[in-house]
Amino acid sequence: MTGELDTRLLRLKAELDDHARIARYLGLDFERPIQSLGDGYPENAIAWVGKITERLLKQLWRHHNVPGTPVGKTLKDLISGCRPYIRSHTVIEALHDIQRLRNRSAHDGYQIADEDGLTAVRRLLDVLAWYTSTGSGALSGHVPRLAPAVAAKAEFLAGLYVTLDYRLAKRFELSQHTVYQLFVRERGLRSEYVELLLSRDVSDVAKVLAVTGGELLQTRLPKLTRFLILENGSGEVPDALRDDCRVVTYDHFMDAFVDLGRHLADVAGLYPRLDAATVPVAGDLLTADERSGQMRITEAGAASALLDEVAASGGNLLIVGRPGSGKTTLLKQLVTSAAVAGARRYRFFFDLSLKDRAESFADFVARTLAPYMAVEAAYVYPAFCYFARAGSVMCAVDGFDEAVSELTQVGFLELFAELAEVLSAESAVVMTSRVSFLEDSPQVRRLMDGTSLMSEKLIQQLHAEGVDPLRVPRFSVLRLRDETSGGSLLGAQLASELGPEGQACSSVSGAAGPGGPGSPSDLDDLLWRHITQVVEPGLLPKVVEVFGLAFVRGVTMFTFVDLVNELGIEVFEGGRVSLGGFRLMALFRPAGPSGGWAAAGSGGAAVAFRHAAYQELLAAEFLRTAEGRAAAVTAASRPRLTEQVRQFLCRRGGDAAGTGDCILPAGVYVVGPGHYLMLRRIDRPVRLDRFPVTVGRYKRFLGAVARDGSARWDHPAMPAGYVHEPWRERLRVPGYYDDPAYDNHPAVAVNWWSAYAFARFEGKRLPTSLEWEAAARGTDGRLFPWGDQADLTIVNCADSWSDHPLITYEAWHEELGRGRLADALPGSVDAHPANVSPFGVREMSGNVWEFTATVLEDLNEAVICGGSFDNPYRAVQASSKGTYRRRGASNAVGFRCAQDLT
Amino acid sequence: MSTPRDMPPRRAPAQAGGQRFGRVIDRQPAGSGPGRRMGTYFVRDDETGATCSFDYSDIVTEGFRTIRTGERVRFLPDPANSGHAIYVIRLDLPDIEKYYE
Repeated sequence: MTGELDTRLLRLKAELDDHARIARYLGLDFERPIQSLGDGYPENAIAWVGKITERLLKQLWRHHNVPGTPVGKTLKDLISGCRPYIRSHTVIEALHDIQRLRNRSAHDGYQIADEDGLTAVRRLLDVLAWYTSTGSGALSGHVPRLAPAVAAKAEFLAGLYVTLDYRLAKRFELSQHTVYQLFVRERGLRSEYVELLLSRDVSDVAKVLAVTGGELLQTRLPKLTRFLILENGSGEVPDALRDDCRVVTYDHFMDAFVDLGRHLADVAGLYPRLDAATVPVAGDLLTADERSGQMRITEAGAASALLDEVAASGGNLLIVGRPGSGKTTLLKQLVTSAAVAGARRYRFFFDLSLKDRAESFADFVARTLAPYMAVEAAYVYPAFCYFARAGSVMCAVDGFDEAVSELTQVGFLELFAELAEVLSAESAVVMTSRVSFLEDSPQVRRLMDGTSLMSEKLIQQLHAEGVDPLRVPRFSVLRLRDETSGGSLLGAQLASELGPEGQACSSVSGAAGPGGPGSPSDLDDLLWRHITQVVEPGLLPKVVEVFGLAFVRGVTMFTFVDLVNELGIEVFEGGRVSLGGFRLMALFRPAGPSGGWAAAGSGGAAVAFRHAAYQELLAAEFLRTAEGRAAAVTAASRPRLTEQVRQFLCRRGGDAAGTGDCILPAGVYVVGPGHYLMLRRIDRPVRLDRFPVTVGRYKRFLGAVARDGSARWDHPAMPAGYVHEPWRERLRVPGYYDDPAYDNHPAVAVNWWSAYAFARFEGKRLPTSLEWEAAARGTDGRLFPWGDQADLTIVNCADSWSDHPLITYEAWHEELGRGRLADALPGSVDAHPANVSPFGVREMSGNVWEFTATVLEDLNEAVICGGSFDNPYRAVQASSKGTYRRRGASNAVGFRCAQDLT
Repeated sequence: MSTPRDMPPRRAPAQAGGQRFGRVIDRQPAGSGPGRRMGTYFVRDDETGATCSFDYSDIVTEGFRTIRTGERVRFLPDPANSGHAIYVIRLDLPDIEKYYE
């Protein structure tokens, strides 16, 4: 043993001796790891540390009645089971370090150094310090003395200091209501001490000091911070504590760490300011139905009242709504509300739209809260997490969908995993997001509800991200209504700011639609008017290009250097690069590293649009042209769009007016469901059949097959024995292929192989699913072939066979049970002249699903598009898709053909 | 309002008649036909090994109603009809990107 090792071992041994009571109580031998290290067997020391840790966790397991028995559990399982009862991030990390070291030492081929053994003991001491500080006699063998409420508070305080890298040096329970704790941490050669005296009230403290003659406080420790923390703050503080001791009540102890008042004042002062005029917002409170997984409205009313109700009950909540519907304002009202302050004294607001995509959530929180927290930068996030996990905190997370690295489930999971630290059972988290991203995505919706089932894939992804699926908290959803009597908040504010021009704009649009000022139907007009008021006409095309392209590249914050490089120095008044000189500032808000202009120099300062909808409108404007869409898609980038961009694009219209010749030009198109919108390129023009293949056309094919066989048209991989006759036994109408009345109906009950052969028979092919969807949606990404508006009179779907909309699965099922859908059938392909795409392609929505050339080889299934007479309205959108086995033949599946053009 | 603390367990015990998990093991080839006869599927409960049947209308979806043999599903035992599954939800649908490949 080297001299240095000897010294360190002696120090560790002394520290372990401080926990001798636990060793005696649990029958542990703290000498063994030290002895093993001294004998030169660090791997044995680690093994002993592992055994001791297991014993501690088993005791904790039994103490908290964790389901199941701890007997036979691995260290990993024990940590996992006990984790909910260990609030300190540091202790969790210590346990994982011990686990890692033990795994490594048990694995042949790894060299274990003395340093590893020392680290194991050091981490064990971190665990023991916390264990001791829990103040529970059942755990430590200590005779219970403290009142349980005081013990819990002492534990909270100890956990906080352990999180800040202190260790508990001394702990004395001086009475049932008073406890003394001394913490120390090393900073290089310097030691820092914190002394906490926690008591019920000053009279109890005075008694304790009288008994001890004040000796307790006669310490002369360097770098000492001394707190007297009282449960009840009234009364005269004893003289011995008056000079060098900060006296705080327990409820306000966190004030020593965080300047909450300043944080909330800054939140309220930034756009959208809470003193601005507001309009009432209505909302629906939804929870997931445990049977079907679908969301159900459980309460409706004023959104702010619903929000207060959830906040008071302590539940987690997701607020969803369209841009400008008032999500941010509601969230700000919540965190600054005095009513909420009673239940959750500490509220933090995070504007995730200001989070850099490459920045971790931890770094973002540290950057946001550092100006308000009195701890070193490295401890801002751990301290914040500790407060959050310990309860009494409300985290308001604004714009969740704007912070994900990519708008996919994987991107969501990454951020969710980062937030998992905060999403403990005792914190309240209120998040906002666009409707389209979170609520409309079935898989993510399930993720937001811990009672709902998650797919195995989702569970695997959660595990991969380090999130225990069983610990996923449950979220209720508050959905803000799109249109209220007053319109959207953003629209109303814009109408007010724009003056007579804005009022005129909103009144004109308002007359046309059901919404009031600022309703979704005219938000783009208001935003565009504001943009054109601020941006000079000559600069407008450049602004559209720069910020539109930036949006599809995922860039939403811009430094002054960016602005000068992209737009020219002219955007700064007199060439003065500063906040005051930025000519377009009316459209922006500060987004600098410190979150404020005052502290940011011009070099590091950045701006973001005052509301995401501005940049989304510029993106839509940019994507209106074929050149813009082509520029947005590069070999290295396959951008995703938001539903709001798509809506704006559809409202403002694409550049290709309907030609009516059924020709889909080569180019880039918006495709995908609302929560997964993509830009995809079509390389060659193609002409689609105007109508689905009819029974009449198919019978001509059958005639040709009967005469000549089908070998020359058959797919080379078609299994032997297949014939192209429809599956007549399956037809709902037995005479469907015999009665000429059905000749103009879509050919159904034929399989994919037959559809393929038919297309070849006509010298054509099946369209790919991408071609099919692009032909239906045109260049503006519309929801239905005719536009964004729902119209039951021009589509054959389940709702049109019923007398009311079939919104939910239950509604559809009940209607089926009543027999009302029994008459639903495919109809004539030319029955709905208005069911037409911008290129003139008819009957793409509803009637029958259509086979495409796109095949999922691993499943041996083909992609089908467009919905059918059997599906509710939501499933007959241009993006609606499913898969069907290639040999399948259904009454609800037909097809159409396509032809390449050179 | 449910709070995280009273979150029910993700997997309800078998006897509680709660959510079950299983795999579709068979599908009757019969179609709907003129008699409105619907095809029958069979799902085996992962935990109990019991087999339940269901028809296409029991599949919870707004889209095309079909299930492959071998697919994993969640379902509820029908309290009014022993051996029948209701609220059958498909668990592992393809990624959206797959529809555009």
